[in-house]
Amino acid sequence: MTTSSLESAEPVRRTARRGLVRTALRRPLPLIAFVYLVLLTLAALAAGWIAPYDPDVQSLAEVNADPSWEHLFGTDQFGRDVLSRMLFGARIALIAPVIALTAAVLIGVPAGIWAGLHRGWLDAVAGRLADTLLSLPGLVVALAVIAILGPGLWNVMLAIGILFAPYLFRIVRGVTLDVAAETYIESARAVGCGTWRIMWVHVFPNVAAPLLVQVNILMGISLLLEASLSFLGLGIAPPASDWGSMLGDAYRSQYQAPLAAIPPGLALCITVLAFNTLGDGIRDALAARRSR
Amino acid sequence: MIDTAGAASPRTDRDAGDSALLDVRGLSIDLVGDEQQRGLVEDVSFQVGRRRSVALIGESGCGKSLTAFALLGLLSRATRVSGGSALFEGVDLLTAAPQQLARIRGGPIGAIFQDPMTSLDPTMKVGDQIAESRRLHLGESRKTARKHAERLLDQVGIANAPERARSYPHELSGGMQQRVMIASAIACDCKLLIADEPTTALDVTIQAQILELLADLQRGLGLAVLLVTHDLGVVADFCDDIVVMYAGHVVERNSVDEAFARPRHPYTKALLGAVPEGREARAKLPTIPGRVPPAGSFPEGCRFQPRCEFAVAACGEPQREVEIEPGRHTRCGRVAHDLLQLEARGGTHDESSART
Amino acid sequence: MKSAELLHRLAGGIFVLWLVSVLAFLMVQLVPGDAADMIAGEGSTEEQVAAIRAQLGLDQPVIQQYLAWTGRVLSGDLGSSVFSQTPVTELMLEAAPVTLSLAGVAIVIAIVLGVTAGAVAARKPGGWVDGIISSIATVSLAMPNFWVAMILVSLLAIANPWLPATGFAGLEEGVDVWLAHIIIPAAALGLHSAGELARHTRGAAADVFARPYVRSARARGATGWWLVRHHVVRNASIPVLTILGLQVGRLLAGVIVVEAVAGMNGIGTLAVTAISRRDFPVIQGYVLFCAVVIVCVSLVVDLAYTWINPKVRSAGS
Repeated sequence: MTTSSLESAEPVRRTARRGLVRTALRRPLPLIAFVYLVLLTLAALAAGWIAPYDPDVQSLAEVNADPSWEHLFGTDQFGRDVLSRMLFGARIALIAPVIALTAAVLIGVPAGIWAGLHRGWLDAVAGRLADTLLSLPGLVVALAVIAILGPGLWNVMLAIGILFAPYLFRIVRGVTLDVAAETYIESARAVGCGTWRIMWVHVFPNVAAPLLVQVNILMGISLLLEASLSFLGLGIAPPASDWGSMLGDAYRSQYQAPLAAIPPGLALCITVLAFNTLGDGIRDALAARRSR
Repeated sequence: MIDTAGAASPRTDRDAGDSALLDVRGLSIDLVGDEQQRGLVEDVSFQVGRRRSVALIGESGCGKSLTAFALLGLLSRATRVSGGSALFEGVDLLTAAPQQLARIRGGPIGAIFQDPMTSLDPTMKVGDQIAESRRLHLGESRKTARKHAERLLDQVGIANAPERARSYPHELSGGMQQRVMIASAIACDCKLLIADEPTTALDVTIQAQILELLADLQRGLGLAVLLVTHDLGVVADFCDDIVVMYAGHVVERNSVDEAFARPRHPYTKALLGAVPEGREARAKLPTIPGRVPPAGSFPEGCRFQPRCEFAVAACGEPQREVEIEPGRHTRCGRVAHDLLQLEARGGTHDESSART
Repeated sequence: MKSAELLHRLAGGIFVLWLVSVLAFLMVQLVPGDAADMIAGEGSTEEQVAAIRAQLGLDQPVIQQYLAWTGRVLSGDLGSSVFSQTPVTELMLEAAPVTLSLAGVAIVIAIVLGVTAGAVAARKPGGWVDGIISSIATVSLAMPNFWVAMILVSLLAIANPWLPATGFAGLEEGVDVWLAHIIIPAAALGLHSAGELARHTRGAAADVFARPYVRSARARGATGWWLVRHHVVRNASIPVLTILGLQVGRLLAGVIVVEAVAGMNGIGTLAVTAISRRDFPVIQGYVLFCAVVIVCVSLVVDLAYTWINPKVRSAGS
């Protein structure tokens, strides 16, 4: 490899990554998903101003009210405004996956890069552990972690983060192995760059694109898991607004208000669909780039 | 079915026109959804006489395999036949109903393909794949068809046939796999065998064995063979007639002996020049400079003109296929008008350059 | 497949089981603070805490605890519930028929719906049928299964009293009664897997349809149903089988939530109750149960592979 290509190889990769999301958004479905997620984020941020009612205030006079001009989505079995609760619930729907994925990235990425660069017995053990965790169903691992740490939003998110870390570990380790085999890592080492510097400057830019794809796909799954756990009462503590626990409330009043499950369930469904569509779009963009 | 039993003996029957087993006229193939209709294959005509072997030759990307697939009704979804006819025993293969075509494929028309490894179902015993034709066309029971499969394996020169019939494709060598493909193609007494680059994926020594087998079968069973290839060496050994294709056009039709002695198109001559004298010198092929243009960017007029050493301004005009002598056609206007006389090697008499 | 290969796979499965058992054992050790204190809960007496500590063996050194625990587990004794003092194996055996019925019917629904839809979509990739099926599959992957169960219950059990809304009836009460109770949660559970299977079946079948050996089968005169039956099914089932194996794990997890919606006392409900009460012997039993099921399923998938794919079969010999 000549010196010129040694210098030029890296910047090219970086610009390629930056354009990935933009390429994905050129197609209509990922674009719609992206716009929806932006609007949802804005609505969640502005929930304090735009929500018509306080989401936690109960009104026993208006229990299980049907949709009306006063309450666009009706009220729940405690007379709370469903629309307001959903707007506040959007906060958790967006924050929860972000916390979970941040935890997963913080655990999985450094471990994967380290294992890929150093190999050795620790790498072998970590790989076995990751395989074992991946072979168990996600919810089971999450439940086991909650059993140790106890219920609650943060614990649930940490549990999902731990659950997802092996996915990221495997991807990052694989890419790192490929990159480490290339010459410029050797030369960077020869020049005297430390391991962490090599990781940050040389490995991370290469890992970023496949990581972005995986993280987007895991966002949807983590939202579904969070909702499932909150539905079971193992997630966020009542009375806080959360789509999963709203579905739990709807379940308990399903004979009185059979339609109560529709709004939070649809919101959940559409949001997960948006995460998945965006993830698929980015994956396709990455695949198209690779085939070129 | 039309039976032209009274046809003249194959060696003297140079113009197979009326009694041809397969008569292709004006075949054109388009890319689906291409509004400009830039044909991948345009106006292809040729005949395959009974018991004759015809080579369809050209570099890769010339449309020869597409032509073969079109005759079998096996074009991919991306391409479609846009015109022409291909009469086989009174049936137009290009317009026949799918069920009718399915009865012909594997029955009177057999086919073998380039890579025998991928052309055989990896999860099915080879005996069953041969028997499949007989079960489909003759309605034989699994057991009877298997017996016939063993006989066919024996016929294509595979020793220990009953045991081999129970093998899976990956347990056989490439040459044996191609023998299996041949056995399945001839399982129902086919009259025409379409062979698409049957030896390209094989070792040189195995190639010779497969060609020998094909020649034996052709003589023994009275098969007609349409051999799609880019290898003139194979053509010289095996074929009676030659159909040369370039960039979707047929540029020359001739008998093999005549074309090798006196090619009627500069492209044929260039191909011949690219074949070494001794077959062992295969490693160092002199090639024709340039490459086949992709469909859609064909030059105006003669499509070979940019790579042709004899090209003149007039070659920019559209060229028609002309029958210059019975059974000899060319798409080169200068050859047709006797302005250019080509020889396989060395001296070529160029009238126009002599005059200028 | 040679027996050496089989032994190798078996050893791999046993290794995973061992690793899971270590993790399950460590759960109690990893609890922040004093585990016995936490299990006993607030307002418990000193004696109660001590009793729990003694029952779980927490008063002994870790190594000794581990050896004792492993010895008991290997002899089939998973301990007793801290709350009801019922042996864990007894609790699980009681709950197993519910969960197995649910998961079994769900997987049948998933296979029938998913594989059929995927195969139909693969006949013309990019066509409108493919478009509709792929869209439905994508949407089904985004729907929480407990929500689907709730909607189905409202429609088919509450708004129209066609099916029972909750509860479980054993097979001994008649197949129709059993099926009537199980069909809603099983459908909700199976829908997600059906979507996943449809996507992968479509991909696998479309891939097989484009293979040269399908072209040569067509060249032999095979068409339509014959082609599918003799060439496509077998070849396409190789990748689909892997996904099917993974779906069993998914169902095992999904059953937890769906059982709650359907008001069934299966293994999932057992686990959720145990977790909210920190009933560690039951939780450990549940984790081990899942691991055993998953290891067995992956072994069966491996065996099926070698049966379907002759290449794998002879690779071992």
